[in-house]
Amino acid sequence: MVSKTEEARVTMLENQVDNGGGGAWEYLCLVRKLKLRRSDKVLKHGLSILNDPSKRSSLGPEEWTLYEQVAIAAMDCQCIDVAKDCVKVLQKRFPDSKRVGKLEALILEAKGSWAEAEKAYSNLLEDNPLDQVIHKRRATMEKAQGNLSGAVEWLNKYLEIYMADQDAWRELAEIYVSLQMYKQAAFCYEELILSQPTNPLYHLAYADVLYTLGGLENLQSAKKYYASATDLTGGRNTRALFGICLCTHAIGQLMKGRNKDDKDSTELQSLAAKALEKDYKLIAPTKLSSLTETLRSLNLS
Amino acid sequence: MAGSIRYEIGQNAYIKLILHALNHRTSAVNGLLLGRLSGNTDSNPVVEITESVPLFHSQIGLLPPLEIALIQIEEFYRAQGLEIVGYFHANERFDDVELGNVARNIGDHIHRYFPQAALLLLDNNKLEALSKGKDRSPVVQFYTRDSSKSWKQVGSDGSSRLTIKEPAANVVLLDCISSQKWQDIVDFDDHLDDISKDWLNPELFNSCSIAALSCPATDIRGCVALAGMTGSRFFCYHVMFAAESLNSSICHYCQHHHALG
Repeated sequence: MVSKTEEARVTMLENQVDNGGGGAWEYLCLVRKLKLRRSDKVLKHGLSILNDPSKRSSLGPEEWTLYEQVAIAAMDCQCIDVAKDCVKVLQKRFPDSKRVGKLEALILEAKGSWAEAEKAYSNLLEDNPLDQVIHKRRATMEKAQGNLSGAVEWLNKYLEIYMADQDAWRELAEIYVSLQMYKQAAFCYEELILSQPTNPLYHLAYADVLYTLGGLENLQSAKKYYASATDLTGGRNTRALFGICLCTHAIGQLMKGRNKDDKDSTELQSLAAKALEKDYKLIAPTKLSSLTETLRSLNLS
Repeated sequence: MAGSIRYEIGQNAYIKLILHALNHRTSAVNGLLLGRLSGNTDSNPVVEITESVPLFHSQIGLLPPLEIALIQIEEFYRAQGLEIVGYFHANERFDDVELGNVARNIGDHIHRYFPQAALLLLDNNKLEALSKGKDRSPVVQFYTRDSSKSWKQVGSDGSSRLTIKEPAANVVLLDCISSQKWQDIVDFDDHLDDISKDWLNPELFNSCSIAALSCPATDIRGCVALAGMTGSRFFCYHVMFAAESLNSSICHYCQHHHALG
């Protein structure tokens, strides 16, 4: 997950490099650091550095990191030959390396030779049973073959041991959402909020899942988490503001005829609505009428 | 009766959805189809899909963004006399051609308001094969809900009732792909992250001005000229062949000189 400023920096560098303005190495380092998936660009610009002997030698020992990065990007773009060439170079330089061994197994995965890849990973695990990356590759292999329940199983096993791995919790949550297992997804987001309580994106995702689950209690909780997400983002998160409006409307629908006078909630909703209108007026004036209509249909409860 | 309804999708609506899928190759994407039911309901009814809005590329199974999108999009297009007539889905994996539960659920919801709703699922194999063949049919699998209340795929064996309105649409699509037009697509997810981004994509097709010219070589066929970032390309579309000639004004097939109009 990247912040807006980081995303903007990456996009700017990307445009710069694409248009021949240089800065390819900086771009590649940033992509690597933020763990972004821009494989076609990484492949293109990485190869342009690697294929130029003078640029390559100016990298010094970072050259090997670049080979690794380009190999993985090549696999993602299904350019297996390029990946194999990179790995060959790495093998020559670092014979018997576990890290290169992982890349070789990754190539098997990219080719779709699942059984061989599984064997390769098992072998690597024998020597290094605590390697987190390899454990996770097993889960991703299941996902790649379409066996989502298998992926869920592997991820759960993994998280029993490495329960601090937030990326794994996030991946598990997303798989649960795609399987429409919302209760389980909610549990994952609860873990994430516990480990990073000030990250508004987790509050937002949790609120989305709670709203999808439905039911009065979940809707009321969802509203609280949308509110906390709004708080954490200084009122600038459009999704959270919309979420508050949706929740208030849905709660109103459920409580129709129960005669509960919830002044707080209407105040919160009108605050959210006002904030949305202000944002749209300023930034997206063409959409303002759509927004007003939307808010109106949500206020009719 | 549902069995005799034709479905026709406009070129821009079609291309927008495919480009959206190409913009987010590593995740599932979805979109809404907008249009109207026209023609006499007794004979030759046609569901015209004239517009599409790309929706999301992350966490498609969650309700709140979907509900906001449905309300906003429906409100907007109602003013133009259009309603939500269907749903487009592209799975995460290349060879996954199964219509998943999320897609079915959303389809069911749309069906409640528009009983002739169409469900389109991107067929990646067809998309890949596009550049090699001369296929005019849309690169999607097409589902409708029959009387058994389940989504059934409508025949791809010649009896397909989903056609693209403009016969050269796939050639235009290939052109958009080669000029990497997918980078310009804005979906509803992008809008929610940054409301200055417009999910209407009003300028998307501006740089391609598509004018239909008549090909004097035959009086049935039409020719399409594309002017844009890739320079002028002329090709003459004939029902049986599609011939392309780059940067030249002579169609290789019918050898006729076309002027850009």
